[in-house]
Amino acid sequence: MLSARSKARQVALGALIVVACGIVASGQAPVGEYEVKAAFLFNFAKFVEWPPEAFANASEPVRLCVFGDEDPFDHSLERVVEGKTANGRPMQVVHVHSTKDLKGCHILFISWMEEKQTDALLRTTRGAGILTVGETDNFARDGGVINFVLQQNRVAFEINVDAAEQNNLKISSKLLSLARIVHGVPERN
Amino acid sequence: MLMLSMLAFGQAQPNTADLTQMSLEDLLKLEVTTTIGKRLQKISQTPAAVYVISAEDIERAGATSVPDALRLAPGVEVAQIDGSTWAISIRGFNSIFSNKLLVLVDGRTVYSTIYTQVFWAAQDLPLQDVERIEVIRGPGAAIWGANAVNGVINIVTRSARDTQGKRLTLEAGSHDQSIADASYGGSLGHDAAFRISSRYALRGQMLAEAGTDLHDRWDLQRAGARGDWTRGPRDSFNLIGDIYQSGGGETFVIPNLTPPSDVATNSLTSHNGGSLLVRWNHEMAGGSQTVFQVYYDRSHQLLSGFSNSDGTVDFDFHQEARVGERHDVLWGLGARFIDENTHAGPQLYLSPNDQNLKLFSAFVQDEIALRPDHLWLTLGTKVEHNSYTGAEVQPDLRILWELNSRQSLWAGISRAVRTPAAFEERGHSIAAVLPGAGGPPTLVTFSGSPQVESEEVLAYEAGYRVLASRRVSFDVAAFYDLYQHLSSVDFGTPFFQADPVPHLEAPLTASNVLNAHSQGVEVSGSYAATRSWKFSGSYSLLRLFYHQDPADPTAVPAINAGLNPEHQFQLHSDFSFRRNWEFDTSAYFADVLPAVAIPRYTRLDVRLAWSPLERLRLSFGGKNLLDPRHLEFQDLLQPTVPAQIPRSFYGQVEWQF
Repeated sequence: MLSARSKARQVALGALIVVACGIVASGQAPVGEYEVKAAFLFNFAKFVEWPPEAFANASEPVRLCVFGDEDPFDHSLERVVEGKTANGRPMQVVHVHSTKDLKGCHILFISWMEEKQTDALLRTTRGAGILTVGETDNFARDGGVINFVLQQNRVAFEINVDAAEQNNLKISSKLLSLARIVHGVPERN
Repeated sequence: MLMLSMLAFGQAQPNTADLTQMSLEDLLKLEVTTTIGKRLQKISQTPAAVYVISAEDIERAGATSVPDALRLAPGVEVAQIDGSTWAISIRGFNSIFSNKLLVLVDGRTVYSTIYTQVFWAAQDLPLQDVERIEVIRGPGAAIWGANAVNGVINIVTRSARDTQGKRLTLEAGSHDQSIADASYGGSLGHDAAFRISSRYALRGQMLAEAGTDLHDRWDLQRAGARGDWTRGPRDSFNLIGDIYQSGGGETFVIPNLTPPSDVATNSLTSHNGGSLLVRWNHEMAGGSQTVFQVYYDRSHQLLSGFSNSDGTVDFDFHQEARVGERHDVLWGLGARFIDENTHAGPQLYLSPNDQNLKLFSAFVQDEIALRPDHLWLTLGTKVEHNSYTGAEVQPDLRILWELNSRQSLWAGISRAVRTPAAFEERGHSIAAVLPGAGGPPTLVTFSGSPQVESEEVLAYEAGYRVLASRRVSFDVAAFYDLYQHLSSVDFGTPFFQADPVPHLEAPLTASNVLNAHSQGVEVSGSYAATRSWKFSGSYSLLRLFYHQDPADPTAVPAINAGLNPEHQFQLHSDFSFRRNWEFDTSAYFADVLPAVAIPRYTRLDVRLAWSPLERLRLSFGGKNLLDPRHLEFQDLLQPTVPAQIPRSFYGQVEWQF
C-alpha cells in the first residue's frame, strides 16, 4: 500500500516526465548548413525590393541563380522554393555556369567552391541590380551584398549596405537589424 | 514507461519545408552541421603539412585534455607518462624534453626554455573554449622562429563573440574524477564582447608497471578572461589573460651511493602562473594587415625537487601587404626577454642559477604568384639573435601548385634551428648510480657545456591534397630530414672519489656532435559515407637513424631514436542518429618503442551523446576499452616512473543557458 508521500512523489515524477516530453518535443537538433542557407535565401527574396526594371511584369518569377558546376544545396533549394511565393511572385532556381548566363538573375548565390571566380562575378554584376550572396570571408568587403558567416555552428549573415545601394536594392530594416553591417565597395578599375 | 520511451526517441528534425515557416530570428538560432570541404578550404592553399583539429573533432573524440585532442592530428606522437606528464612530438625525438616542437596558445609560446619542454599540465585549458588547434608538421621556422624544428602547434581559443551567455561543462569519471568548466560571455555595446571562464579539474592516480601507486593524482584551478573589441571598420583588439594553479605528485627515482642504489620517491609537483596578452590588428587601405602584440607570461614549477620560475615579456609586430600584382609580403620583428630563476634540487642544479635571455628576430616572407591562381612560390627567412648562440638564419622555400579547385601539390625545402637549453649549457645533475659488482658503485654525473651549439635540420618535404567530392578528402605528406649537431652526451674518463663513500665517478658532458636523418610519410583522409555517418583517419610512418660520429665514436644521443613508434594509425567513426544522438568510436594504434621495450598498443574509445534540448548535451564514454591498462612511454633522461594508462569511463553534461 503506497504511503501518501510516495504517492505524491510518483505524481511529481510523472508530471516531470510529461513536462520533459513537452520540452523534448519542442527542442531543436542540428540541421544541414545548406538547408538553413536555402531557407535564408527564400527569406531574402521576401525582405528585399528590386528596382522596377528588374521585372518585366507582375507575375515574373524571382530568379535565384546558383553559380557553379556543383550544387552545394543538393537540391534542397528547389525543395524550399517549390510552390512558394515571395511578395506575390513565384521563385525559380537556375544553375548558371558562366558569367554570360547572369542576365535575368535577381539573386546570385556564389558558393565557397567558386571562390576563384568571385572577384570576376562581383565585377560583372556591379550595379546590375542583382542581390549577390556569398559565403567566403571577404565577400561583403569585396562588394557582395550579403555574406553568410558561421558563428559557433550557427548561420549568420553580413550585409554590405553600400553594395546594396549601388545595385538599387532596398533591404528591409528588419533584415538589416539582424545582420552585421559592412560598408565600402571596391573602386572601379 | 511510454513517457520514458518518448524521451528516448527524440523528435523529428525540422525538414526543409518547415524551415521556411520559421522566422529569421529562429533560423539564426539553429545549430548546423558543416561539410568537410569548408574546413579544408584554407588549408588547401598552404604549402605545408597542415592539419586543423576543430572543436567538433575534439568533442566527437571525447577528448578531455589538450594532449588527448592532439592525438587526432596525423604524425603527432602523444604518449602519456603519468597523471600530469606527457611526451608529445612531431616526426621523432619524443621525450618529456621534446624540444623540436613549438607550442603556442593564441600566439603565446608555452615552451619552457629552462626545462626544454612543454608542461602539458599547465596547458590544461577548458576545451569548451578551444576553437581549433592548428598543427603544422615540419619546420615552421620562417614565421614562427627557432625551436619550431619539426612542427608548430597553435591552440586557438574562441573569440568572446562566439561564446556569449553562460556555459557549463561538468564531467565525472573513473580517471577524470571531476572536471568543471564554467564561462560567462557578454557584450559591451555593439562592438565589444568579453568572456570570463574557469576550470577545475581533478584527475586520479595511476599505477606503475610493478603495481605500485604513483601518487600522481593532480588538480588544477584556472581562471581566464578575454575581451574582443572592434573599433571602426579597420581596428580590432584582443585581450587574453589567465592564471592557473596545479598541484600533483609524481614518483621518481633518486640514485643513492649507499645501497639500495636507487630509491623510488614520491614527491609533490606544482605548476602555477599566468599570462596577459594584448593584440591590435589594423587593416590598412588596400587590405593590408598590421598586427602588434605584447604578452607577459610568468610560470613557476616544482618538479623532482627542482624548482624554477620564469618571466617572459614578448613584443611582436608583423605586417602583411600586397606589393604589386603578384607579391604577397609578410614581414615582422620580434623581441623577447626571459628571466630565468632556478633553485637547486637534490639531483640537479644550474650554475649560474639565474639568467636573463634576450631574443631578437626579424622575418620576411614573399608569396609570389608565378601564375595567378595556379602556381605560387614562397620565399622566406627568419633571422634571430639569441643570448646563447648569437645569430641564426632560417631560410625557407616552398612551392604550391593548384591543379584545379580540388587538388593541390606542394613542396618545400627549409632550414630550422633549435637553440640550446639552459640545462644543456649550465646544468649539473646526478644521472644514476650503478652498483658495483663486489666493488665500489659508479656515480654517473652529467654536466652541461657552454660550447653547446644549436641543432640544425634541413628538411625536404612534399605533399598532395585532394577534395575528391564533398564527401571525400585525402592528404598525403612526405619528408626527408637531415639533422646536424644533435644533442649528444660524451663519456669522460671515470675517476676514483673517496667522499662521501668510495666510488667511481663517470662524468658525462653535453655535446652536440651527432647527425641523423629521418624519412616518413603521413596520410590522412575523411569520408562522409552518408549525411550522418563520417569516417576519418590517418597513418604515419617514421624512420629515424642516427649516424655514428667517426671522430667521437662513443658519443650517445641525448634523445634516443627508439622512443618513437615506426607506425601510428587511427580511425574514427562518427555516427549521428535519431537526429539528436551521436555514437562515436575512435581507435588508435601505436607501434613498439624499441629503446624501452614498450609493446605496441591499440586504444579504443567510445562515446555516446544525447541532446535532449537545444543547449543541453549528455554524453557517456569509455577510453582504452581494450586493455585494463598499458604503458605508453618511459623517458630515459627523466627519472619519473611511468604509469600504466588505465581503462576509464566518464559521463559529461554540457549546458548553455
